[in-house]
Amino acid sequence: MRILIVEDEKKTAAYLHKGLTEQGFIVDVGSDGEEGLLLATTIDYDLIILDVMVPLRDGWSVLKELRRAGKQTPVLFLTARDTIDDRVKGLELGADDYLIKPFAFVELLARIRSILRRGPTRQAEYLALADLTLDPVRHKAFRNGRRLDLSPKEFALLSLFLQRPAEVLSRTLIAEQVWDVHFDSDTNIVDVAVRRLRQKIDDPFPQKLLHTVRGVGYVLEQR
Amino acid sequence: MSSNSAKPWSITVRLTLLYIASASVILLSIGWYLHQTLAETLAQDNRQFLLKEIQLLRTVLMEQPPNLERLADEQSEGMDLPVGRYYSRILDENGQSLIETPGMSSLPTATQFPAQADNRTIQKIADGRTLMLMTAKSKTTPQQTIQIALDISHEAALLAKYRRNLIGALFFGLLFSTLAAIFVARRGLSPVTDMTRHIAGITAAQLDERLDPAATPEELSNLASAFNAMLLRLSKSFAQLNQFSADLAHELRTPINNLRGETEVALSRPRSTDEYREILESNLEEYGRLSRTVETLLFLARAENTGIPLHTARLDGRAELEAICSYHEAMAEEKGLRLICEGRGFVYADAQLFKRVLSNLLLNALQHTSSGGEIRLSLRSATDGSTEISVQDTGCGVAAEHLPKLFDRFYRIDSSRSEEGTGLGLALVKSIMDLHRGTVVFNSALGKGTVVKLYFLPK
Repeated sequence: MRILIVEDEKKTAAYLHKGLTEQGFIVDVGSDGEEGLLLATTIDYDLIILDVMVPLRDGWSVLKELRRAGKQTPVLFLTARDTIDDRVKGLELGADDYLIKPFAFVELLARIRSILRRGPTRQAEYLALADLTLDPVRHKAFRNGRRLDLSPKEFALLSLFLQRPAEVLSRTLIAEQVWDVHFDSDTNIVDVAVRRLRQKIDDPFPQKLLHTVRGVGYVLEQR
Repeated sequence: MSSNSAKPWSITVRLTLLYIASASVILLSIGWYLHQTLAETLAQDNRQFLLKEIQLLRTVLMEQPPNLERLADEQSEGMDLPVGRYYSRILDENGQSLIETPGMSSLPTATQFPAQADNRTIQKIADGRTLMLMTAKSKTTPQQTIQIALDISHEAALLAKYRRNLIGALFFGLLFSTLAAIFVARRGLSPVTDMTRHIAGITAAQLDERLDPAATPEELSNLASAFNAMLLRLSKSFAQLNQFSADLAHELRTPINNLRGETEVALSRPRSTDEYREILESNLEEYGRLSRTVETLLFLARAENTGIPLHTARLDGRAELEAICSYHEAMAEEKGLRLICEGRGFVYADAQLFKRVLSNLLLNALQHTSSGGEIRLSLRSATDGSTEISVQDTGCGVAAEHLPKLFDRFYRIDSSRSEEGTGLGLALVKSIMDLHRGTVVFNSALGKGTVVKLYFLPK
């Protein structure tokens, strides 16, 4: 997977490059609008991460030119100014998503994955990781053959983790997906919920599956 | 505000013009009246005089046949006067001149006299003299006609001079009244000028300056009071803004200080990977708090400038309450609290903002209620379609002294700021309710608990 980052702020570009490379992407960086447009039109990328405020040619103009040139590469906008107009403008021009600075890196990763994954997602009939299994249709979860007694929200939380195994999920994303709460609140509600889920799915068993990535979020994986 | 091209006339100009106009009307009326009175008086006098002469001539004509000698004698009297000479002519029943004053021939011919008896006309003749002409009939048979002419050149000249003087006086009068008008207008408007000078001297640093309404004239004292009220509002907002900036700086200073200190200490000597990891993780938590603070502040700032569009929808109130309860359920259970939802009804609100308001209130309730307590969310729809939602806890409550400031940004009951959260929760609640044009009422009793009531408007 090849990603282009158009970003003039050196530190931002550097950590995005580093973070995405470590996640297995091939990453190019354009440090202004012209360079970004040149790269975007000559190389086939899977995704372009575009900062709105870049020198020589702003992000919107890059996107406009790109679409005019017939390139349908997905675009994710980064912006520090989140006025409604900016969002609408970006989405109208054909951007696939936008993120407002400051954002959490896992948040960016999640958005990138969801753009790249796009297309019809089928509801899996059966979710499983190690000896943990979940039957979405009959609303039942088992570990090591034993039925787990989960509340509806705990069930939703577990199926979110099972749908995205080995992916670090931020608290924001969990709150959005499980409770449809689209704002960051300064609380540990999600932590409490995850802790209670962990008491049921991990505590009675020797092999732990649900891990904390401190300051970032949670991940369900075999270690 | 009108544009420059349509700028209205200055008050000085208006007052001056009005003053001049009224002075002109008054002066002209008085002048005209005086002139008319004088002219009328003179004409009356002359007429009386002529009637008396006619009377005399009639008496003489009573003798039949006419005593021409006495008539000539009578007539010649008019010629001896230094001013106001008069001439007369007697015509017989056929219109032939019987006798006339010498010099009468140079006067207008008989036909120019008024045909009707006792009428008078005033005529100017070729040599520049002005005459008053009168015709009368004798009371004899055959009837004679008396024509008499009075030289009123003197009076005419007098009137003309009077008119000239009057016009001159009017002209100077108007000139002086114009000057007076300008002076009076300027003088009259001087309180406005003074006020302007005073106001122009007020800068942001002196917002506690006030105009003295008692020292300004009645017409301006309302303006002065209104201006003072505006200054008061401004200085309040300024004070708030200052307080807010100071709080913001303080709010940011603490986490930045932590980050800086931790990083400096970490770098002061080599450490194990685990130690570095721990420091980075701790820093990440601070960053998260900082960006949430900034995000919330931006939201508040934008809400105040009404830059947030609402996606208002008809929400099933009970379902929303239960959804938000489910989000906080785990936490409530951890703390040993019961969450209760009751009531039914619809709410017209932005779904996400509605959740945010309730979540903030629930978090406060969860934080301040001890184990075994309960938090009750109830919903009630009024007949007019408005909705009241209350969040009631059995927590520790808030002392009355804090109530007025609870919705201020960064206001914390515990001033040490050791509490969780950004200190913006209730400010956010207020802001979101304002966006919905709803209200929020906070009631609390120490030791008994708190009730927060939200009122949402009907659609």
